[in-house]
Amino acid sequence: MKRILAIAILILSTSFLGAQMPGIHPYYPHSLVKDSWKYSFRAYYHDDANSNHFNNELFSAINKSEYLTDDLKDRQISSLDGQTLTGRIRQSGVEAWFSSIKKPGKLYFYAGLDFQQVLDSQIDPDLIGLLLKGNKPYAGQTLSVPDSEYLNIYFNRIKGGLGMFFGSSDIKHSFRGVLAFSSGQNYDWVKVTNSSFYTHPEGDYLDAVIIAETKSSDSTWGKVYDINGVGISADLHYAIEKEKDFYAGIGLQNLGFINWNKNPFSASMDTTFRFDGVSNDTTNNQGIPNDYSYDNLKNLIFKNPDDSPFSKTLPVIINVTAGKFFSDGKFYAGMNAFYYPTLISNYRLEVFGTWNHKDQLQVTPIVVYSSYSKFNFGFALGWFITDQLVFRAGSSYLNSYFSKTALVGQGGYLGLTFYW
Amino acid sequence: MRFYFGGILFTVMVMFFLTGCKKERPKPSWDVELLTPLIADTINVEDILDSDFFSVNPDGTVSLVFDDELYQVNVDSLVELPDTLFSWGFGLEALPNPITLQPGDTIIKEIFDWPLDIDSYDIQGVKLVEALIRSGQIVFEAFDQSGTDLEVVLGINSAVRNEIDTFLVAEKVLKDEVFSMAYDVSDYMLNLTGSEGDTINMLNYYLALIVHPDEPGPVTLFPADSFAVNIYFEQILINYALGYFGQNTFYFGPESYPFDFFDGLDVSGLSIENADVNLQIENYYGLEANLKIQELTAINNQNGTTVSLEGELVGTDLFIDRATDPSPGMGTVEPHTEIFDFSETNFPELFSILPDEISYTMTLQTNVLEDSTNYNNFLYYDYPIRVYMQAAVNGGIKIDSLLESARFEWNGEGIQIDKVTAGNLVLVLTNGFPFNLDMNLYFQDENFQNIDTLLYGEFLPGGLLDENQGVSEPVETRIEVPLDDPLKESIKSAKYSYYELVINSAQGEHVVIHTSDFVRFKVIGDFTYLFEQ
Repeated sequence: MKRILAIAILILSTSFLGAQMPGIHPYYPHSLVKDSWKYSFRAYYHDDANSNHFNNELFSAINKSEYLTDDLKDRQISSLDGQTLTGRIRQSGVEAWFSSIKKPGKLYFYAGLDFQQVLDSQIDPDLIGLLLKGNKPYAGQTLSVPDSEYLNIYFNRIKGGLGMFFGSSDIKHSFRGVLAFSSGQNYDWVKVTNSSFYTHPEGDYLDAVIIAETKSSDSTWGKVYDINGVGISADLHYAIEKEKDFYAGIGLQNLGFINWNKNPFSASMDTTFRFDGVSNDTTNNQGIPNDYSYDNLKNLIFKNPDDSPFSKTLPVIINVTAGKFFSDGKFYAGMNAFYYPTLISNYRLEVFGTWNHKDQLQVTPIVVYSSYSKFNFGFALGWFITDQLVFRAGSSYLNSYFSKTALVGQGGYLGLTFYW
Repeated sequence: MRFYFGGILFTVMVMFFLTGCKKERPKPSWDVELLTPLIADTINVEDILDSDFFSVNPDGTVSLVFDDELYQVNVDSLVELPDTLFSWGFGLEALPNPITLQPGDTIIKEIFDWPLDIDSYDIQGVKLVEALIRSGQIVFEAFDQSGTDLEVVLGINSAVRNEIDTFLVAEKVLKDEVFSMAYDVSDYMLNLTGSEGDTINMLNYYLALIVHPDEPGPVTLFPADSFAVNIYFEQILINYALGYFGQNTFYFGPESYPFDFFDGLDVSGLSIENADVNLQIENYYGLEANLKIQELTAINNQNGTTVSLEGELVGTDLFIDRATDPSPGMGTVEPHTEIFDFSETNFPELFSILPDEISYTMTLQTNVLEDSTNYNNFLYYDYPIRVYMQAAVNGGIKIDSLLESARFEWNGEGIQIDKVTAGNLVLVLTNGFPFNLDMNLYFQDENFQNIDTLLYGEFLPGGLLDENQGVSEPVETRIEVPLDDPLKESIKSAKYSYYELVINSAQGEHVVIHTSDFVRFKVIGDFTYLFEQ
């Protein structure tokens, strides 16, 4: 029995090394200092999509590339109330840890790959109506776009680093530093402020006031092996623990930048214009556009773009987690907070409590509050399948995940850790 | 068993991992209701009224104008040189006995003046002091009846080219044969004042007969021997002349010439209320003259109608003063221009029949003031008297069935018209012309063949007229064209759009055109569009 318990503790130990990674199970951290493992591997997928006004029905239809019916659009538009915040943070990757032979339990090496997408937007309701319904329903009205912004970034990283454990037998510390080579796949950013749009009641002309700025890299969404930008970044993590008493940790991810250098496009405009048709004037006979592609429209709208490469910081993620053990580790309660300083929707706070059943099964109810000004609820599960294999899964959106009419709140995580 | 299950799970995780790194842009689609202008074109006055026909007045109104040359009085009609210069015979009958001469010995050598017989033409009283030959020849003929070969030298001391090159030729004339040779005398300036420089119509010559140096030995000339020389001009054109050209009356016509003013105007009827009509005469000749229009008739050969110009100036002497020539002979002529007001004529009637031919009869009377003591008449071949007709319609104009058309390149291949699921094209035509328009609008292929008709005979009423018969308010016409599949196909495959406008004066009135008049043509899309990312 003791042997089984020892193995269980070892399993927990190795798996929660992974749990110290951002986005990974923080709901039952374990002793930081173990010296009997040699190496460990982990694959994970994490997705977190949220919105304060978009509903699941629309979100799912978009992500499934479906046709948006009029009823669906009407339901969505009727629920708009102010600016719509929408975000998605998606990460997946594989990682490996190798314990130092000379200093087992004190020093380890780290290598990994991750793939990240960050989508962050705030869109004014008039703009959403215009996008979903077209301009005809709003003919004769002035649509206002005071402050809309959209960011979508894809990038991949190859990581390497070192970690160490130190401290007394009572209070233990952990520190890990990771350096990553970042390859950018896609960057799209558009910001529109103090703009408006008017359609003549009979369509004779369109009046627009557009104050906008954009930066983008190659707009064809690159394949995983396409490199549209390069850069470096770092991840840092520190944790402190008193075994079966308390745990606290802070992690910083994506401290770095990418220089986007493939088909870069930077432009801004501050213009008022009336469009009354493409002129096919008898004197200059300028042609009408024959290409309505995204790139061509972008070039039509934004004049004199700058095609110089540009650098943008990566979306930094700051994760703070802390908790208290109860009943000799049978229960653990705490909070897990994320702060995204470069994003519009910039925080997410989780409060949870975990029941640890014989170190084989852990069940965690979670309550979340975020920048989207709403609560979400969910569960996380940890399951020790074998002595060397741990499966973790969870979602904090179980209250909204399966309801078409609920506001967007989708996502969760899956992780599988193998150790030796 | 657990290990096996774990392997499956790990595989599933790898699939998730791969899903995570697969970055494909979602491609949802939805219908949007679009109401947007697509194409706009404005047809202005200058687009349908050729600037050759119309001019803009200071008040912004547009006048139908005619400004064209009617006639040129050319040099050949005014002064000509006679064909024959002189014929000269030389006999030795005065010799008492035969004489013997050595090769190269001169038989006779003469320098002499000889007058031009200008009066041999119908042009009377011409007294030339200078003439520059534009082109032509001098023909030299000689006949030798001396029994020996001669060298004949002919010079015209009065004919100098480039100020230093005096006309001088020497030719071998064989015994008992006729010699004939033509010499180009283009650009020779003739001084017609004789050797003393004090007369007129007189040239100075040099002629010599020489025993040809190639004769093998002494030759004998007998009293019966003789020689003959003829010299005459051939196809002479005068480039410049100075002198007195006489008081003559020249008659021109009846002649006619094609009148192409309306060739570019496809119109079946034109009515003009009144017009400012001027006859402008530019006199580049250094002489006064009276020009008289005996008759000027507009002819429409299509319908056989003719209208003759009538008015008090018709048949009246129109005096035109002489031009000046600050640098005589250099071609720096300052013409004298006279303008005669023909507004009180029936000129609008002449235009109303849309003539394609003009016939005229004129007379020109020269030197109506000058006497012959001044030899300062001049003329240049390149500067004749020019007669222009200038007319500007200063009142209203009534047009019947003026056809205008235009073709534009159309590139519809890239238009994503297939994504339009339903709707209309709304054609908005705003007529700010004082004309009613009947419009045809087509799509055409690369061979200008119509592949689709958007409009045919669509009536677009002219703008509302104000009290001055100008447009006070444009009139808008909206036409919905269902965007059906055949039309969508035409939009994609068309290479040109082509319109025809049949223009008629609004309300059948004489109307006034302004430069601000326009027709605005706009295509508005009012349709459901399948938006796909």
